[in-house]
Amino acid sequence: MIRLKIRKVIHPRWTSVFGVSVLSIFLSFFFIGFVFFGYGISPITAYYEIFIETVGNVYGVTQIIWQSIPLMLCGVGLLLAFKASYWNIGAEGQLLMGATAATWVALFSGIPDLFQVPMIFACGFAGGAVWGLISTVLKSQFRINEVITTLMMNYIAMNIVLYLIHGPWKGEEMRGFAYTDSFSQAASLPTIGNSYIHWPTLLLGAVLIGVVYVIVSRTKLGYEVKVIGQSPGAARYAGIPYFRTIFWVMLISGGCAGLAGAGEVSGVHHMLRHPEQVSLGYGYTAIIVAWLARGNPLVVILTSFLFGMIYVIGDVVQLSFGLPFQIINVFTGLILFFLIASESLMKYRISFEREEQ
Amino acid sequence: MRGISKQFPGGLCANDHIDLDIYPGHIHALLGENGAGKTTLMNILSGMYRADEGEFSVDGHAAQIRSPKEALAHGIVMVHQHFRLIPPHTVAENIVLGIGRWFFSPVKKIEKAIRDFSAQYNLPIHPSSRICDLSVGEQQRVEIIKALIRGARICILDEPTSVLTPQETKELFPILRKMKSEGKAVIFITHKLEEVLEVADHITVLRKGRVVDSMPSSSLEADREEAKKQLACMMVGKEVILKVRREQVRIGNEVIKVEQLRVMNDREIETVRGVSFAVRKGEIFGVIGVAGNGQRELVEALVGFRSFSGRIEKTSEKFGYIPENRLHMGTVPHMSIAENIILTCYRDFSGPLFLDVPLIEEHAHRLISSFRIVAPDTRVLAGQLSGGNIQRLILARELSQNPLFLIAEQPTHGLDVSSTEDVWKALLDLRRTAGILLITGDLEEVLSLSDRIAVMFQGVVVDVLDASSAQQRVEEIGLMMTGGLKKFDRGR
Amino acid sequence: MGWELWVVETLRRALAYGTPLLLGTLGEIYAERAGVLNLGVEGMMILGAFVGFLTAFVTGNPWLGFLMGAAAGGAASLIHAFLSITLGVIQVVLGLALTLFGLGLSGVLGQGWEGRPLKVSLTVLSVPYLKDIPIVGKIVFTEQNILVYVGIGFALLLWFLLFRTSWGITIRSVGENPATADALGIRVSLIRYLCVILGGILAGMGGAYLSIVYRPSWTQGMTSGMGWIVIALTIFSVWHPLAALGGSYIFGSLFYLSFRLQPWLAPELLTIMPYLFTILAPMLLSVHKKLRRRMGAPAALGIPYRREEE
Repeated sequence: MIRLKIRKVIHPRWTSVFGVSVLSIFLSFFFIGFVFFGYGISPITAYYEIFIETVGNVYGVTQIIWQSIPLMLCGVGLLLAFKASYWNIGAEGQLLMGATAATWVALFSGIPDLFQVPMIFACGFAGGAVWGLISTVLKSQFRINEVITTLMMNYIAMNIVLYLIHGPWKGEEMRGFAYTDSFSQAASLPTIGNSYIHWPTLLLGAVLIGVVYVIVSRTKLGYEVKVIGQSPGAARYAGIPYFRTIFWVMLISGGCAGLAGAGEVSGVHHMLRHPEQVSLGYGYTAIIVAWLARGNPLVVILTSFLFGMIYVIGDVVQLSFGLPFQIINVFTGLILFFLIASESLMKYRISFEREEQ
Repeated sequence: MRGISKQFPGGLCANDHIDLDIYPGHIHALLGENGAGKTTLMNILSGMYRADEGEFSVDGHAAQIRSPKEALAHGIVMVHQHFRLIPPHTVAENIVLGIGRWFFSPVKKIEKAIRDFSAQYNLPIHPSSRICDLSVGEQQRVEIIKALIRGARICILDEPTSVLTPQETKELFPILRKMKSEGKAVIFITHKLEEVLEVADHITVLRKGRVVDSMPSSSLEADREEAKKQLACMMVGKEVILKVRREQVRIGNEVIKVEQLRVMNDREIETVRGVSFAVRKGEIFGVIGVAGNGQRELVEALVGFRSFSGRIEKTSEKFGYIPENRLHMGTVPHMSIAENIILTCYRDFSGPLFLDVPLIEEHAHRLISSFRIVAPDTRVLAGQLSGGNIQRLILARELSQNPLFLIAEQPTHGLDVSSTEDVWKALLDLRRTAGILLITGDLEEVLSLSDRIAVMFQGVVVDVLDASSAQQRVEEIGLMMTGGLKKFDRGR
Repeated sequence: MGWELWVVETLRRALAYGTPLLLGTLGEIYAERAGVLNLGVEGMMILGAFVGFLTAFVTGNPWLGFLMGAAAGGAASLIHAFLSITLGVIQVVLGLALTLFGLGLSGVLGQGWEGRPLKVSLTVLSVPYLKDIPIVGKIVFTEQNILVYVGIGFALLLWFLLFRTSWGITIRSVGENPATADALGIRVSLIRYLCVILGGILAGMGGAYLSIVYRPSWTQGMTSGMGWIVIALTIFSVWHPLAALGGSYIFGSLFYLSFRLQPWLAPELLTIMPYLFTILAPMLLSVHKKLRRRMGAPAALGIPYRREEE
């Protein structure tokens, strides 16, 4: 009789991890091909068109870059949180609160022009950080799970923004939509040429990726984060204080998302508007950006571009083929499915053994 | 059971061709130290494990027991040391779980059965109380009724009194006797001699996976104390061969002093009941006892994981700790050797912000060679090392910090011979410059390493012996470990 | 309008607004009671909404729409069940993936159908005799669509099943301590599969309610976060089907009020209530130690079960 023997493997090789990630992405593209087929479009035509319009032309590339900026910032922040096994699902809300803080600086703070942009970033960071730290306080005082609190705070943040743009911060109304007044020149971020690429935020993103990389690989804090995330028992044994470490983690994680929000309102929209226009689900997509990076902050650059590209694919597919923008969610969902399924399969090595009767 | 053998991966032979006969209406005690193989054997009998070799016969017919369900079909049920109950559910809900007979209102329907059994066996229990509100003794009764209602004919109890207070223990025995009079067979696993003599009809002693002897209790010495000596001798063996030499070392000052320490466990039962001792520099103070007699709570209190009453005075706040749990506490399996090497001293290898990576690497290399950790380089993950090498890693880390005081908790548990030797050598080495508290259940280990030996039983230090006299008094140590001797009677 | 009438009207509408929440919550209660954290409710609901709408539109039969919507939710939940139970993947991320997938797929498939009004819907009726009971009659039995009663019926049925039958004890034990259940011969995986699928079916039904009854039409993303509220409600109702009734209707009344109170209070601030409640409730519960012990999440929630190897 042949028995299936399944053994646990502690640490799969990084080559298999990389290969599996790439395979997941390809499989998702493959399945999306069926969707195209269902719409009467040849998948090959579709992918060719996508290629041309995204990486194949300058405009496409600029689109990819500016959409990757918030993904990069949120992503690297989430990567740090996940490293500590702290499930921060609230990047969306932290981004929005950062945007709100930035709007306050731009429209209501009366800070002199010269300091507007630095303050926008500083307050954006602070707004996101504070919002994220609320969940930490709730966990430390009331033992409430951070998944619930960060998720709920997303909705609270969304509604706060809605309230502000419809209420006290309402600007001139055009065609029934609500938004605040436009930011002044001094409060707006410079962009590259005619594109939306607000390069100061991009720079900040790159810098923060570098900072998180250094933290994780070379600092005491990074070490503490890793131990807490991988073995709470060992962390206790080693005398590592849980909440003090998580404080710094969430400060940075929420702060990065807040910066992303500040960048969006200051660099792209120049106003605060409907939450779903400020953030196209960046906070949620960033979870996958972070996950796909497998714990390496530098890889976040790659994964954020990948998902920036997926956002642009959504636009292309909408404009060229009339498919809805929502297709990118199918993409993202599929990639995630394949990714986590393969991750769990990688943990086991399956072999067949003969069992003597 | 005939010829039952079981080996675990790693080479540990838990059961070695064991024969066992169980009769109805008898209470059969399975006696032995930690690691003797008693629980493994009973896990095989109750279908949780599968034997590598051997066979069963039930009522004279050959039988297969490959799962708990099959065991239950033969009427074999095991009550584990750590109860398999669901705390927020009620007694009735726990008992009726898995019994497929009723769909509607199973709880109400089983309540009658519970009350009947409860009365019959004199096990007072309220079907509607929640498990989390019950005392440990009451929870145990629920487990027993659970077994009886399912039609158990052979009821196995794994260390039933280890979780009970003395009062509850007194209440357990009449229950066992009643089960016996109802024709059930009761097997109870224990290491406590007093209980065995009180209640068992038949005794089987296991040591290191083998049956030492099996006899009716009537065949033992009539005098209780003599009988205990007989059993203790079978359990631990008269001779212990020592393989290491201890050199003479000058004893220095006290490194830790403990006075009237009392500690409660998670169930709010006092498991350390007024322990006092002191450890001095230059000595290894060994605490020998069967696991579960308060040692874990003692260590947790010393290390600061648990609150306590009484006094603990340490000469210096810095001390080393080798925990029993190597994988979930002593190391982070997914981190490299280098990262694990600084787990308890990472602050010494870093500035205000940054870790000094080259220094850590150098340190790791040094320790790998000096402690003979078998690994190609420092980037190997701790979880990929063998048990012995993991322990060497932990030792290297703790010892290299030059502590004045070290706690070593079951340091050679599950290790092979050469690793055990390495650990012993390292501890003896450290002894020159520090005081060591050794907590172990291994008699050979405590005799080889300790300068003074304290025997711990039920949260109390029964006695403290000098190494020199301990050699001759192995029997007595065995008795003290198992509650056979309350305090060494100097008159003998 | 006298304030009593106003209260009665609010409660009456609360039942209608709360029914999709109720259905979703009942399903998620079962999944979580069995130990599986299914965060994909939003995705399952929206798929149910689209498939339900499409079926009702094409066949002209709203009941068929509900059936197919439920089936769609159940099919989606199979993905979750397979990945979380058989493969043991991390459930938080899985739920998120399912939500995104569901939102995306329904958006893609539903593209041509947006804005087309559904001409058939459920009849609204008043129950004779019962509607004349003072107060309660006016709230519960006057001018409600049938699904409200279906919802209440499910709540009662599922409560009975969970707390008064052997199946219920089995389910609850699997979620508290799967090892114990396994040792007693219970098939943990099977129970979990069934509960997750039930969760999907009910979520799909709740979604179909939105597109067939609530706003008889289809718009992409029309669930607008209702699935997440279900997750919150599951906790808020302490995993108890009867409490889910109360919770869903409280949230339902908040939805209704957010329209009604618009002249006086900013609607966004009202919408915050449910989310705030979800955070406040555990805070208050944690204060009372005994409550905390008895009314907590199933102990094994979100932890994949693997029988321990020897």
